[in-house]
Amino acid sequence: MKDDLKKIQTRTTQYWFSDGLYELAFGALCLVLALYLLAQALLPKGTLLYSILVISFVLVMLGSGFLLTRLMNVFKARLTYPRTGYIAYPSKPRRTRWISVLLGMCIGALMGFVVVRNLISISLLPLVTGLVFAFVMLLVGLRTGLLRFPLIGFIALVIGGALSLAGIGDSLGLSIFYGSLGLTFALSGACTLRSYLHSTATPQESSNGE
Amino acid sequence: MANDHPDLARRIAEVDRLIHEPARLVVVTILYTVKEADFLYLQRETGLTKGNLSSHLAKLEEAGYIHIEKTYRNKIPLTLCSLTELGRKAFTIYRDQLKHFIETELENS
Repeated sequence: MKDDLKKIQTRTTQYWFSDGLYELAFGALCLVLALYLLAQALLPKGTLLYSILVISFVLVMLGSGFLLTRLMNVFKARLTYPRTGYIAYPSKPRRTRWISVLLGMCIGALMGFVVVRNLISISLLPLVTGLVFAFVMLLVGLRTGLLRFPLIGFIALVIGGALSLAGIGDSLGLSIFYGSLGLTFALSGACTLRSYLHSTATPQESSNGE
Repeated sequence: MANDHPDLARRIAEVDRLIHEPARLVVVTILYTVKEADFLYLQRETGLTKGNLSSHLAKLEEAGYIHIEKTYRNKIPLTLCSLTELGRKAFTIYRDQLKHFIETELENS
């Protein structure tokens, strides 16, 4: 019976990912990042446009993240909740959120330090990024019990490894990495959404509730 | 078996019967994991009819274990359920009792 309770809790955690919308949104965010890095690779350094691009990185990424999250929630309200119901998850404790932010900043700072000090070849950046993604996806897979996340992590590692082997490690290499990752997430999300729509009934017009 | 082991019978009797009922156990387990869930989600996960689920939710609400809020989403009535502090505590006690019971009985057997 203890296992049954655990299964119910795992299913409840999995529900957020059952419609594939999160993966579609995250895939879109990766594609935005890929386009940004491609622009950075193509624009001549030292130009005004290049400088604006560098300065606006945080704004672009935060703005895209915010917009995509809003879009995802809109689609969930229209597609998912009327079909299979609504759940609100508890907010993470402030301490946990701060730890996640600090950990992300530390990883970013460490990678930046390693690149700037030439501690590793710049061509290894896609591999290292792939390794980080693979690790994170493994953790997500373990937490949710969904196999497709570690699989995406493995694909990220393969893509990163292939780019590093080909010696493409600068902005262009990272652009290709994030573009491929974005397409992988989008494909996974689309397949999950298709499966979800096929396996669930269209919402009835009757009321939700007693 | 319970007659041969009076202590076992006592420990079984101590388990919260309101939560122990299978359908209500699923409801409480789900609500323990989330901040709130709507009626449709609970109905799908329990597999109960609307009337049956409503009855179980009413019992849990009467005991003070859950809070039910009736609201609207895009003009469609929506019933939201969440676990109260009392319900959360009751589930924790129930889960610990069950865990202790299973582990103790496995050791003895």
